[in-house]
Amino acid sequence: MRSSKQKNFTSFDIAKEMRRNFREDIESLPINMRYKRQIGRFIRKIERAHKKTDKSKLIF
Amino acid sequence: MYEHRTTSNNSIKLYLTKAPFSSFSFVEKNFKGIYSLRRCFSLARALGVKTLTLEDIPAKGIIEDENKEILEFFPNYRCKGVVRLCFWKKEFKEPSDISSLSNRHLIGYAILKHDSVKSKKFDRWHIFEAVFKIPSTMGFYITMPKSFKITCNQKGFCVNGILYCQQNSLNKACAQVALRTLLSNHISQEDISYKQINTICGITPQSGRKPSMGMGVSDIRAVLNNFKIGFKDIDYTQNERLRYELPYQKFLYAGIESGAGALLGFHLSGPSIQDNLPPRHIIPFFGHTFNQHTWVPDSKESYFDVGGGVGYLPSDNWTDSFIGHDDNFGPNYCVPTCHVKRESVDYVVELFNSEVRYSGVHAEAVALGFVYSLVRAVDYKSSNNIWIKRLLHFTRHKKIVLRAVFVSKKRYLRHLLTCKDWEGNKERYEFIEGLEDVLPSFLWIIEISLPQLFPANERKVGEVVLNPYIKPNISTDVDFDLFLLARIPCYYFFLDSLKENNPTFLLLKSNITSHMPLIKHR
Repeated sequence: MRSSKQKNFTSFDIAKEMRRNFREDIESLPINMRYKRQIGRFIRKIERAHKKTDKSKLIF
Repeated sequence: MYEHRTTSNNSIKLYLTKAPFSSFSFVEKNFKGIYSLRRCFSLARALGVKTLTLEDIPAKGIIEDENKEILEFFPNYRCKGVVRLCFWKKEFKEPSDISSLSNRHLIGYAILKHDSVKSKKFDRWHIFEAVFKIPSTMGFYITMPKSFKITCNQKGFCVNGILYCQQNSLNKACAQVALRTLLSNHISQEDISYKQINTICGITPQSGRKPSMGMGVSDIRAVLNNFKIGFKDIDYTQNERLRYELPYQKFLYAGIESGAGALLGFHLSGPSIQDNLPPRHIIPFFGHTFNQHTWVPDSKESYFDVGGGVGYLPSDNWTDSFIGHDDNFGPNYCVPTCHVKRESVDYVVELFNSEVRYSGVHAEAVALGFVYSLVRAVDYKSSNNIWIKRLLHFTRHKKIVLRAVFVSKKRYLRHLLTCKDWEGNKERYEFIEGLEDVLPSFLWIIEISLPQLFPANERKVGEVVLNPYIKPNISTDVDFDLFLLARIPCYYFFLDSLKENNPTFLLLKSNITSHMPLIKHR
């Protein structure tokens, strides 16, 4: 399967499927996402370092 | 395209390797004492070699291509010989005995090449390639061994291992050979020639660039892009702080655990510099050791803080050594994780598997947010489950263990179907069957475990499952698009709705109420 189709799989679709098949065993729960700012910053730090590597002059 | 391995020989000799046979003398007499071949003999001895075959073979396939390429750079180049060595576990005395041998008798092979350039006064042997079985020593994890077809005396054999290649100072430096090692495991069936690698980088006789002068970061990237291999690379010389904030070991480990491998570039120091060796070196890594008794995770330094005191214990804490090749010294070396000092490391590349859009390091960080949020939210619902309580305890102290592995959907679902928790409970078949059509072909699985449960029992209390095919949106703090599902004792979580970045999750009861085994390597 090509990646264009693979990226169509979402958790929402799985939730729908589970709701359909296991109606009696499920429940909804709102959740407060923790530490999102710290994790977001860390991921952006990796990305920035990777982008700056564009200018690397290292030779191996 | 593996003609160079399977070509018929011109002649064959046999050597019994028991005393008084001397590997040292053999390497000195026949191959000018090259160090990397001594390492091959050490590996063969450790794996129980009894007989050695030496075949003179013609230059075919990518060896013939290499000879043509070197000729373009050095018109008076001459290939003075190509030799295939095979190392056998069984003692035999006649070439005709080879017909009765099987793959289990083959320890490994090495193809050596004798190059000469008169104008440079260059006359050297080097190992064009070698593959050795990985020792079945306890605690060795190689995630991506490949089967290589080889011929000995007209009979075909296969050996599983990781391709080792050596530079020759003519048409290939350390970067070219390191890339060939890792690329050979990504590209099925085909062998990559050095001419292909050099051409992609524009290193041709017309360009004025010499292949032996090595490859730049942009060249390495061009080769990986050409073969459609995803990667995340970091040049640590841009900012010294990065060596501490984004330790190279995390990227190496993530590449190894995902099965794609990693490259480590460092600058050399010490006496070798005086011998005019290149100031920088790059080597491939493809495995690691696992030490369940290590003290490291209990030390403060082992804690990985993503920022603001939020962190976890990465599973690489239980790794003593990374396993890789050093083309100068030979194949399948254990390199202690702290031996290459942060200050010496200039460059790291974590490779991804085909079509994957983000790294294992990224996947672990994303999973961390979901674990800390979901476990706290579900606590009140399952006050009777001791494993949720324990998970919550370690979550509060931010001491959970995370391990990112890249696996196929088939393998993950089989894992869920066959594994039992500590009480012997198995997951419902109809639930796993329901997941079959709603998951992509491959997944990032970030396994959640606890100190002591992870190393001693090799078990876990859950996992976060992410879609590796989606390009991450790094402008948002939480990228919900990547999330597929999460599991902890008693519950699965799926994303039900999302309003202004406030998620509601669907909870589904799980039969698994305690811990279950980690996903094993292939």
